[in-house]
Amino acid sequence: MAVCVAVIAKENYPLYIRSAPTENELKFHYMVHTSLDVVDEKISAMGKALVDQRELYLGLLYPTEDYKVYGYVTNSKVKFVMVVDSSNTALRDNEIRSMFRKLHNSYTDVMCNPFYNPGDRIQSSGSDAAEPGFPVITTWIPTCEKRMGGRPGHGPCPLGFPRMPRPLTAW
Amino acid sequence: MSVPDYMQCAEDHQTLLVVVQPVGIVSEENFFRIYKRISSVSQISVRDSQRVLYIRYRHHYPPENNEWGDFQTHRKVVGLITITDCFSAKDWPQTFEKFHVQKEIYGSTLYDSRLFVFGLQGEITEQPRTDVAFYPNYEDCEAVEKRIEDFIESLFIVLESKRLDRATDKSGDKIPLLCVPFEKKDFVGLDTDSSMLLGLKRHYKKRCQGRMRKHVGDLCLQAGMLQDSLVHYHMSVELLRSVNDFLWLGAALEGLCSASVICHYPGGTGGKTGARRFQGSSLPAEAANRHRPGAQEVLIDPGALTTNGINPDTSAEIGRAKNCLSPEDIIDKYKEAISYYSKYKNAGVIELEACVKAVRVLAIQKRSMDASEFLQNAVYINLRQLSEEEKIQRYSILSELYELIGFHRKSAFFKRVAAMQCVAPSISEPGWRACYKLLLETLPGYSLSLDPKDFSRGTHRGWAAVQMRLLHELVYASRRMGNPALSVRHLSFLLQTMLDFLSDQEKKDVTQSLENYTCKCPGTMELLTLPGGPTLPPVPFTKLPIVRRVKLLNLPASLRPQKMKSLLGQNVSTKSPFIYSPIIAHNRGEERNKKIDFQWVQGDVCEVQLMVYNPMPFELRVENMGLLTSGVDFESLPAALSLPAESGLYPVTLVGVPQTTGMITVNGYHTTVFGVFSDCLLDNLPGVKTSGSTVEVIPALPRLQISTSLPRSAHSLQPSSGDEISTNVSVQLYNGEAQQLVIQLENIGTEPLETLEVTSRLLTTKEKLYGDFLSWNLEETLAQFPLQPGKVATFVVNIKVKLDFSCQENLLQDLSDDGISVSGFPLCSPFRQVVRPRVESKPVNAPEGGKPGDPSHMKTLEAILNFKYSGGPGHAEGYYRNLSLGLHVEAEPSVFFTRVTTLPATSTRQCHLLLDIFNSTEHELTVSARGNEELILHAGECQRMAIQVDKFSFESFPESPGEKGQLANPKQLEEERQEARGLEIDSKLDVHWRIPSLKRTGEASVEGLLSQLVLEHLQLAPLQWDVLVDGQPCDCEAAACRVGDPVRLEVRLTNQSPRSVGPFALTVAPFQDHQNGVHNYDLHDAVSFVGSSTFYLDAVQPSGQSACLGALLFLYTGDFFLHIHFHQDSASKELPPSWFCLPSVHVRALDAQA
Repeated sequence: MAVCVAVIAKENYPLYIRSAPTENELKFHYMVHTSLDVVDEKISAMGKALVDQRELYLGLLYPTEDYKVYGYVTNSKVKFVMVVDSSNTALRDNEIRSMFRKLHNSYTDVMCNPFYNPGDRIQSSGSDAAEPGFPVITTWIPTCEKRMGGRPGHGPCPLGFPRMPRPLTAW
Repeated sequence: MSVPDYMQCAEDHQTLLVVVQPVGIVSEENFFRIYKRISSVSQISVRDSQRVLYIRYRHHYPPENNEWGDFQTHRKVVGLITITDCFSAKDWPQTFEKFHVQKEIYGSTLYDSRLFVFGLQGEITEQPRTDVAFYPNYEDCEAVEKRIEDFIESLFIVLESKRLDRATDKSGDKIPLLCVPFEKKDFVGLDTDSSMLLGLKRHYKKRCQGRMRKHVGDLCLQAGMLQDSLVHYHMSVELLRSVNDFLWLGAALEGLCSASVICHYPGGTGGKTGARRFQGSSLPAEAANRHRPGAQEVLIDPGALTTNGINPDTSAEIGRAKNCLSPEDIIDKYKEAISYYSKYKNAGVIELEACVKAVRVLAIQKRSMDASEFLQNAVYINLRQLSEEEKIQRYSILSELYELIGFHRKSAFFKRVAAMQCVAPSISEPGWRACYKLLLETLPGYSLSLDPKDFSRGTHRGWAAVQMRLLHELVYASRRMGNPALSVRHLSFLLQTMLDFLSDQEKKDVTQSLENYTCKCPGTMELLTLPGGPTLPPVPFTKLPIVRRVKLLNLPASLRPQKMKSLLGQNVSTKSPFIYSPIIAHNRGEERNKKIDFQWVQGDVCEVQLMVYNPMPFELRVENMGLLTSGVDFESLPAALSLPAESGLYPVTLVGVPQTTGMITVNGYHTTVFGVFSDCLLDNLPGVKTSGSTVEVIPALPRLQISTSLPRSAHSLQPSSGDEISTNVSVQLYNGEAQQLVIQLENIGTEPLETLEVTSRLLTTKEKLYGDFLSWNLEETLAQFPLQPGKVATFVVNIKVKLDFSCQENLLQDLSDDGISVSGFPLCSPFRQVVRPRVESKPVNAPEGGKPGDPSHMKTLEAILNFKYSGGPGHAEGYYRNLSLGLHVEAEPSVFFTRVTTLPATSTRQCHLLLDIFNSTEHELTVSARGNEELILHAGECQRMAIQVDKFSFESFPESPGEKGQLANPKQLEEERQEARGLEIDSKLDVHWRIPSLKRTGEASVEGLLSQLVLEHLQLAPLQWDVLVDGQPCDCEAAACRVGDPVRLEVRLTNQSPRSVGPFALTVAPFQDHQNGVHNYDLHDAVSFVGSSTFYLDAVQPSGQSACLGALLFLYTGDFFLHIHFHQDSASKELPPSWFCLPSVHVRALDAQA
């Protein structure tokens, strides 16, 4: 299981970042932020490859003492970064891949939401902080980032947008 | 060896290490002056060869590093230059002693040394010594460079001899085993001669050979023999690999790499690292001087190396092309070397430095991923317990290296760690300045700019959490540095740019601390210059409060300047000969984008409305909020406001007074929030709606204030009235009443009021109004002009309400049964029948009907009085102001004429007008007409009033056709005519009413209720018939005559109609009225005509006269009437019958005796 999941926009700012041990969230922010260097490097190295042949999964970005950081980049250059515990040996490359694939599906669902403004922060409705050490992103319900009058809005869409289908279950 | 030199790069392997040190007391300034000159001599072409020597100067070098000199010869201090001050000869021996002590430190490895003495003069300086140079002072020492060059040449000689010595040694019996310091104890007591097994001995010998080969390779590299060194390294690698001497194998591999790097990258790998200041040991100049023409030559013509004939056998052993590693191989070999080094804990520094060197090479090769692997490895090399300073140094260098390979984020991360390390709690004297400086350097890595303008565009795009942390750290560090202005600036920036990401609690905390800071040091709009040189731009709080809309307000309607219409010609663009061109129109449209089409007036308070809201979860106090303008001197009057928490859009009006004229542009506004002054420019505000910000200020105009004798009314005029009314007054009047409205005109401005024009406009009303509603005489008022400021003039307006006095239908209905009716008078002619308005018998309680005097009968009249005034410089520019006074008049009904009829009077020139007058007020009322008695009417009473009036000959005056007649259609003309008639009649009648109890009087007008029929009756016919009996005109009174005498009868016609009439035939028929409705026409016996009873009249021209004569003879006494009637012929039918209204002649025939 991952301890931190991040979705990063094409312009390298976070669209979504959530970590399981919420008490030291900033550490993961730093970790994901620095991993972007490697992501950038890998993408630029990959640049020459044909688009349809390109592997989206970037593999291990870098290991630290406690964690391993994996990366994934969509064709639209949106990056997914996942931090997993180094001690968790059950997670092989295949598992990581499938986790990324699910994440990608969820992200696609968010994009399908007509109320979502591409580029805005993504709000997750999943109460993923409830279970410690378990960043469950169940559903992704984007909210209206800006309410009328330009005030930044929080909370779910006032129109009561239906929950997105295909929730990501435990991984 | 424990102190790593992070600045090392691969090409440092070919340098000779020279330590330059001061002895005794030498000022730092002087020392570095000399040091700089010395280190400028960093490469020397050796005499008689194409080889180049490279020198690396250090002013500080730990002696324990020197001990590794055998391992890698570039670590060996081979030269020492000592700089000292000595001012007297007696100090000299002591100074010289110190030099020797200094030499001792590096004694084992030194090839040569020099002492530079400054300040000493006299005989000692005369001694010719090679190792000591005397200079009188620090300025006067041109020969330093030359000295150094000589010194280096001497070093070269030693180096070259050693190289040759070692290189040729290999055939000798005994090769010493070179050791690194920690190995020495391993080999202590090892008898290399006897007590070893043969295999071991061979092994040992190979090891000795391998290490020596490596050492010779180092020396060759230092001596500028690149190709040779490659060969030696290769051989060394072979030898050492076979004996598993890993540490030295690593060193040999690294040497191979270094030589290959020098070969491949003559530009150097550490070239642009300007970061040597951390070491504090070398100068940037040194790095800049690293260019190696020699190495280039080697590449081009490696054969030149062997021309000297030194060690010719090596080139034969291995082919030249094979010697140099390919770029990929370099990295592989580095990897291998590092893996060997890592086997030895004591070689940590070597490993670390190798990593750094490899990273520099990879950076040149642009292989960032590989480089990051090396760096990752370097991070985990654990040397020993590092001091805080060393930690800082290490993190800094990691940051720099990451920067070098383009990992800016990683670089920023390590730099921030270094910054944090500067102020770690374990440090007794935290370096807040250094911390702050390092933190500033991390900003680009976190894509954070301290210029708020970069954030104002669009939404925030960045790592808010990380950036916020960094900003907090900057705030804290700058505060601890003792620079509150910086803290305020950073905190303002945090609040301004990260507002969307702060939680409510954080917002409170941040503003709380900001207020605490600004108590001591208020935030300003000035650029702050940082110690390092960069500047911090000011942070205007454009989000506290957020401004959504900026709107320049027009002056209130009463103060709005207007351009004189007469100057129309000026408005037409003179640029084009065309009256209209789409191109011009287009240009105007563009201008209009910015410029607003109203004007402000100099000296008048002008307003700008902002729609603001407070994004904070608490009340926001904004002080000193005012406008920023340009173009015109503007006196801004700042406002203070307090916005409730999370307020919605909230209008704020900022005011100011323009002091001069011209185009004024509102650029923005300034505020003071939480003690921070902000100048917010509109151009930099995102999402602000503005309808233009430039407006013209015209010269000053006077200001007029009006007050009236009438009470003000809250009642506003009909919304559709269009004009904006500043004052409304109201008055209640009875219909027909008049009142004076006295208006006080006061000039409350600063300019004299020079001109005044008054116009009035009656708002459309259904009521028909008779006479002038408002009338005035302006001359008296204008006589008081020009009106100086503060002066008052008076202006009088007469209000007269004259509405229709005719009766409404419902009233008529009420009154239809009260018995007042007009019955035909016996004498009435057939066409004088009163047309009685037959009202259908409606139910009495008609829906709209109320009782007379009911409020529904009250009518409202509204008018606007416009005062156009001007004066002062604004008048000269052709502007005026318009002040409007709304007048609201409630007209209550006074009297009604329920019915108007006429009765013929006895004379055909006169008639009786019968007016049924109804008092609709609640008061007793008297009505009088000219020459009549007063008629008293009680409330709600209706009475008839009869007025005898002379008939009118309308035709004489209202015919003002000429010019009018052709334009207006006949119907209008007819109406006009009727109106004029009404007016004429009215003035003749002069009906007044009076309410004694209220002491109010007024007129009553019959104008509106005169029907065509009544008018006809009141009109003199254009054909005027006169009957003369005995030469006396006979109209109403009876003419007397004697029986038996012929009575002369003359019928005279005066034609006043515009056309000729006639001819007519008239017949006189006498009759007697029996007063019982019977007329006796059978009077042949009583009356006899002298001549014919029928008269003939010829055609009469307009304004002509004609007469016919006859005579009558009355045979009996009695009252006789003569009925003169026309013969029914075609001619008379064309004319209206009323024209043939002849007086009836009454003749009284008397007895002859009487």
